[in-house]
Amino acid sequence: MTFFSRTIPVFLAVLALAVTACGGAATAVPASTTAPLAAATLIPADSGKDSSMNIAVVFLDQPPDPLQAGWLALPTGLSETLFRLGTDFSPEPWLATGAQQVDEKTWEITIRPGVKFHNGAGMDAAAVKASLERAITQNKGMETLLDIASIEVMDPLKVRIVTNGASPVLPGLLTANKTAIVDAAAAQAMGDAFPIKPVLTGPYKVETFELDKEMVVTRHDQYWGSLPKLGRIKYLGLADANSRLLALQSGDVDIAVYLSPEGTSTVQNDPNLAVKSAAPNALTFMFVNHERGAMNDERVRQAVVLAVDRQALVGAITQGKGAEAIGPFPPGFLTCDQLRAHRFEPEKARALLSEAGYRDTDGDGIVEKDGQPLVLDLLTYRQRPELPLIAEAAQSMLKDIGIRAKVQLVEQPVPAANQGNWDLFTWYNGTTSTGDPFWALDRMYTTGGSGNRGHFSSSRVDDLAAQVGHAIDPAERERLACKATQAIIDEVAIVPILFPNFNYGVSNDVVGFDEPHPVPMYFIDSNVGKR
Amino acid sequence: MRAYVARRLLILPALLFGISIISFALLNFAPGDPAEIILRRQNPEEPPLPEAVRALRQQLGLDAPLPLRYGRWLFDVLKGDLGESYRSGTPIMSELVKRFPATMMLATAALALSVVVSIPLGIIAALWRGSLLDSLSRLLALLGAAVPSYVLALLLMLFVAVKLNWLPAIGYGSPKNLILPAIALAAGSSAQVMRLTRASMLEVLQQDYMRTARSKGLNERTVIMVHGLKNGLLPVVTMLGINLGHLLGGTVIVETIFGWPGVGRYAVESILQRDYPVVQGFVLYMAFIFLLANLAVDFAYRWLDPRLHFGRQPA
Repeated sequence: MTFFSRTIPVFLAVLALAVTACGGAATAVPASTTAPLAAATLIPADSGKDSSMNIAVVFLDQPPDPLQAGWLALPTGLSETLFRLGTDFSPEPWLATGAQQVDEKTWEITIRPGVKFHNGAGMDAAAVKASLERAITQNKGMETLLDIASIEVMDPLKVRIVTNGASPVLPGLLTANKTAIVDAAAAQAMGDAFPIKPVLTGPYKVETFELDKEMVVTRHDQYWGSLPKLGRIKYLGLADANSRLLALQSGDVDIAVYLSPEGTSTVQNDPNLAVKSAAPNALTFMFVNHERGAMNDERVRQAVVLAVDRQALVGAITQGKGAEAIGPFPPGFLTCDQLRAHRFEPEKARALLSEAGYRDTDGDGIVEKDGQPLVLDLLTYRQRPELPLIAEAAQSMLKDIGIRAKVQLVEQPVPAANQGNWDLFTWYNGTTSTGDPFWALDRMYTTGGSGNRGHFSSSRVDDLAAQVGHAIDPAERERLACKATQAIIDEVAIVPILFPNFNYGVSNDVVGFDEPHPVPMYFIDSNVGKR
Repeated sequence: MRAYVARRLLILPALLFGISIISFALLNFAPGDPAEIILRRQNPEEPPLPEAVRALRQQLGLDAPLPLRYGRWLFDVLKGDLGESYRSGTPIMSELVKRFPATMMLATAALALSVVVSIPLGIIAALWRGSLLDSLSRLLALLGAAVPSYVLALLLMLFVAVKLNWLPAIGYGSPKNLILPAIALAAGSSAQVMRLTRASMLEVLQQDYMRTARSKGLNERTVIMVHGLKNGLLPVVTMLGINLGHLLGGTVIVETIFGWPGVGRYAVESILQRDYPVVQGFVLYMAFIFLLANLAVDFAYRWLDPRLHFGRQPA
């Protein structure tokens, strides 16, 4: 029985793979934990001296310099930022110990004492200034995000940061993985060798890095926090979700990140393994192309959103490990009173289509207007394995209300989205970066926003987003962000689908990884160990 | 023969030049802006800013006209420099050289396995045509050809590594790590080679010279191994040469599934991320490998059939 219960799901996954001929590459980054070590699993501080762990991650395709691949350096315990997002997505001090806003453009940040870089050099205010200056001079995105006018060292453990415009949420911005503090002097001295072996402050330091193959990290003995429980961690780059699963089952790795839905069931049924699920963080949704024919009509957009049974998708796609999305932000990110959301109401959707002039005149099940059937181009990509499944399910749901959706799989979503030959596009985006709603509102929903791929344009949302950007009082920011969220829902800027959990397969030997952090950037910390 | 070898070696750079022009042009027209893809990979949660994309395009030299970019690239190649990867900043030549032993090891093991298993089975199937052994070999060939390598790879991992725990599922470095990827890789080509050996041997067995050999009183073993096999192997050698070319090009899927750090995986990751310099370097490398493999096949022909003369058809 055990044999079959373990074998059949994997076999079915293999067959499904064969039938769909999917490569299964995924764009996920490794994810997170900050969970304190449970009392029952406490291990002596020095027992991890020689202990090692193997972890299967999706990508090792960029060197772990925070400026190049902050998405790799942060979750693997190599780098740290001045502030980090807490489990409630609000920024909390990390390499900083506090921050005080002096005026609307000025912040004074106190630096944590006793922090050492991987080369043994001390991290002080001057090092923080040099690191942040390196980030903003070498990365245009960081320059724009932080908008820093000057950084001044006030004393060995305090810097004053002045921004060009009002910056009410600077600590949140300083959670961005590219702002991780590096030894800028070492970066200068090491030149091209630095990205492969960056000098950072995290609990682990790079021993070797081989592109697309493996990264070996060892304990940073002078780490400022609790002594890392492991002596050595080897990260293996396995892009294929089935490979990660089988490597976990065979005992070749202790943790496999980003399990597929089938893999999650397999791990759940294995007595030697466990699934650790991080609370939802990023949004799975469909972009709506507001510049294309029928989608210009708000009634058609409403019909589309009313036709999608999101609860069913949460059950079928994430097997219950996720949450239904009614708007852009995950549960717990904003506290909004009574958001009015679209629910699954196919009858109302049909009525809206009829009101918009779409009727099935030839009896083929597809509605027409002026003799033209309502056909939508629905694009999707497979780097997120659940997206093609969502596209197929949405196709079927739309057919029920008389809309024909033509699903097309694209290899590179960004260029395909830029071409604009689509009506709906399944997508996956983090919405909680910086811990403040303005980041997502400004990029995704304002006119001309850099991530507004459907060219949504609403003066109401633009106005509210601008107000959020300028508000200094946190409560006022939240109230305005809630109003903007309601406007986004009302005008169907996008079709929200679900917030999927981030699932890890973990060997029972792993300790200190009981409750993964909802933000996938905080995966490995000094508490993760092995029995 | 010397003249023939010299001529073939002289043609080689011309062919490589032609291939490089075509691939450079084709890559340029492929969809996807490398600058935007690189920036999006650097920060998946934040869409790249248009000015950042423009700056990176300029930094990478992507804003220059196509002929100028090709000229710069060719000039560097002639100096032995294939350029640097957009995504890692490491020299492509050193990455290919570093990855080649892994691919070579896997390709050699898979080819050896394919030869050791499929040629004897093909001969047996031909000698005992219609027998149970023949049917069995046909079934094996059918399975080998029909089951995609990635499915076989996952099934091998599931049963041999996970259920039986005999071998590691993933990894690189020890002989144990080599066995499963080599089997997964050899299965498909073994099926082809087996069927081709059988068909070729069946044809040879009916030739007059075989009857002559037997009538001279030679024993059956000598007739089959010397007169039959040497003639029957000619088309098989061609196929093995082509297979070797494919295997040395890296076996993307098997490398990806087993976490094998070969050139194929490097190439595919680079293709998906529009890492143009790597793709361009890889195309040149593949072209070189195939041209060498073809040359080797020609030499093998000469050894197998002394009637063949380089540069002209046998009489």
